[in-house]
Amino acid sequence: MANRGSHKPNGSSPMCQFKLVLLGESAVGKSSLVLRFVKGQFHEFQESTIGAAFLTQTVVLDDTTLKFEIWDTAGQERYHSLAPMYYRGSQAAVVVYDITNQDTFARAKTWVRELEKQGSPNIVIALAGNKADMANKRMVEYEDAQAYAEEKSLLFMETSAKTAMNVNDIFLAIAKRLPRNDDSGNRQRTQGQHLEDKDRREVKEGGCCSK
Amino acid sequence: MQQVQEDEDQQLEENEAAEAVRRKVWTWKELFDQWRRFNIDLAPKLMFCRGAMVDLLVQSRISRYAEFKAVSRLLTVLGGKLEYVPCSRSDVFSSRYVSMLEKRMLMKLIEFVLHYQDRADDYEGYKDKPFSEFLQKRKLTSTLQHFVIHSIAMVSANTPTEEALQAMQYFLKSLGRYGNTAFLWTLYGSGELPQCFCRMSAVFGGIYMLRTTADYLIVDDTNVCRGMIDSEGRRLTCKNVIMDHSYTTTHHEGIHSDRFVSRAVLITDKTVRESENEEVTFLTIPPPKPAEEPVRVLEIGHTACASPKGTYVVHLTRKSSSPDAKTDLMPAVELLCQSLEAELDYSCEKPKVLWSMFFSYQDKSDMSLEDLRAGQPGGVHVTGGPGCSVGYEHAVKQAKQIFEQICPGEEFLPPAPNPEDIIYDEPSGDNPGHSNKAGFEDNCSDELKPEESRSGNGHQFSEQEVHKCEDEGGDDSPTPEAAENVGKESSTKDENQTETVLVESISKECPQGGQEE
Repeated sequence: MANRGSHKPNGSSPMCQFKLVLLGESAVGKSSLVLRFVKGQFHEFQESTIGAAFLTQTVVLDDTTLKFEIWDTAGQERYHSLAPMYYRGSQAAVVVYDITNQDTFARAKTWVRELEKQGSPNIVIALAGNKADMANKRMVEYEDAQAYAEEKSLLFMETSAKTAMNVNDIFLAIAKRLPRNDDSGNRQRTQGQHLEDKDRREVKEGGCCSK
Repeated sequence: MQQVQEDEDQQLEENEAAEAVRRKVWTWKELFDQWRRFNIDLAPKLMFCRGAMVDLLVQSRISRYAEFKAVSRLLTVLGGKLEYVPCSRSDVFSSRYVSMLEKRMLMKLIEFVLHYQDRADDYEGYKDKPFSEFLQKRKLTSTLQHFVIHSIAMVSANTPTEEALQAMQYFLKSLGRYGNTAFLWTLYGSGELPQCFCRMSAVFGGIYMLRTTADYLIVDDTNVCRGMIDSEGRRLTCKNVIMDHSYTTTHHEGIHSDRFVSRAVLITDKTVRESENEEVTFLTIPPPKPAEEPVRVLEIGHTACASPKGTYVVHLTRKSSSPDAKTDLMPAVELLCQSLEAELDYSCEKPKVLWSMFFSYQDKSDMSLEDLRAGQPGGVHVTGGPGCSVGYEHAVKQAKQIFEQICPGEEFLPPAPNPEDIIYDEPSGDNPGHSNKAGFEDNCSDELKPEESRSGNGHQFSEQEVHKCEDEGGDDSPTPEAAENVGKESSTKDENQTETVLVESISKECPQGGQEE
């Protein structure tokens, strides 16, 4: 995919690609949420990072295909050392906390502040209270989180990567909020080229003395 | 008479007013408010389209973390003015500065250089003689020689012919791969590349610590490195440390102690040469005398994400024999821009410098790794700094050499698996509540099994695991050495940690040799 913005492959339905970043304290279930959303899987003992550059998942919404490029923190949140590149050009973010752990909710608020400071100006932020299947150990009240989300205009849902509750829903809710027409979607993003794709087109480009 | 003078004055004022409408006057506050839009590299570099860095990024698939922009024009100074350098076939034919005869000459030379190895007879006698003599023999006019020496081969008139031919071929081969350009620029700056390498390292378990510096080395009684202490006072255990020469206390007496790179960074209000398009410009200012050094200038604007709209970041770089960057670069600044001290002159087409910075650093880029690490404890590897080369060729070479010393026989940055290709084992929890075993267990040898205790409280961090200590100054770009270091990191690893397990399970799909000890 040479183009992260909107374009029409083969003139068919429009396709938009968005960068989405996940944030939250270690072990709140960021990777599990992604794995549930992308692969429909859940691992009780999920390794602390997903060993991939980023995962992609496509969502179809009102005849539009949206492709999420999902960036997991790969453990870097522990040292608070997320490089600027992680936030760059991200159009959406899911800030995750664990409903059974009050500290993670406090951390989630810090991440929201961080996003307001570092993220793209019109970033869509969703707050996910994960591990909703463990409600018997609940330490963060639904109402508290909802009030906070309202105050900050965040999307909010309690989710469970384990039971799949609200996982697709929260990504869909984000998809609905994302600007989709070419203009607004790309305003912050200046397009550069991607190397691999161009490389394959090499022959066509020619037109110079090396050919 | 008096009347005429007044009319003229009025006319002049009107012109100035009209110009003022067209040309924005920046206030310090306006500029400062947009500070986050500036990305200023300390050691900016370009990638040759068919160069070592592009090949490495593509091969390792690290390229997907970054986006690139073509360097859209190559300029030089000819007769005190900035002119386009014709380098591709189409440029040569459309160039206004070269005559028909020169066009033919230049095309012949380009064809020759692309295959010079097969035509040894044509340059044998000039192999070690100055390049300018060889060009003279081929009857190139002085304009053409100027283009070829300074902007295409990017050497000096005295460079031995064979070396110059090699450099020119390297440039020519880079044309056409990504359009009509020989160079690519990393969107947001060269500082993105170390981040890309760090990110790749992180997804395979590497740890990078931003805003942390290394303060002390821990050395045992046999003078072998055992670890380091970081700026937070943490003790990090490791077998290998890779660092820039500026961290060392050793002074390489007598060896290149007089080599410096002079740098200037300017923020300007317009481009050095008007154009219809937003350009990424690479300009070479040839030295006034052949024995002196050229100044390489890179101008990037908001389309390359270097600065807010309406401003440009201009980097000037030059080899030097003294650490006095201002003396070295002031003539070039004055050639390109309005006077630094004076107020904005509306009648002058040149850009106004809104902010400037001059600095220099020691250049040890041409020292061998052995010389660089002389006197250091065992396990310490020292890099030579970014130097003042245009591209990353040297950085890639050095990174590879150090990697081979630390991980002999391992493949250097093999392709990372595509995220879609990673197969997760037995989705243990797909039937919710059914499983109680770790998803990766089947892949692990006994000693690599994830600890039971990890499931609830997430990741347990031992000091030993923190083997990576890389300082990255936020948006400011670190030197390319940061990129080097990441490629070579991960030499020490606590076997019981998750990271190792993860690498193990992925290596089924794609061996990640370099990630392990």
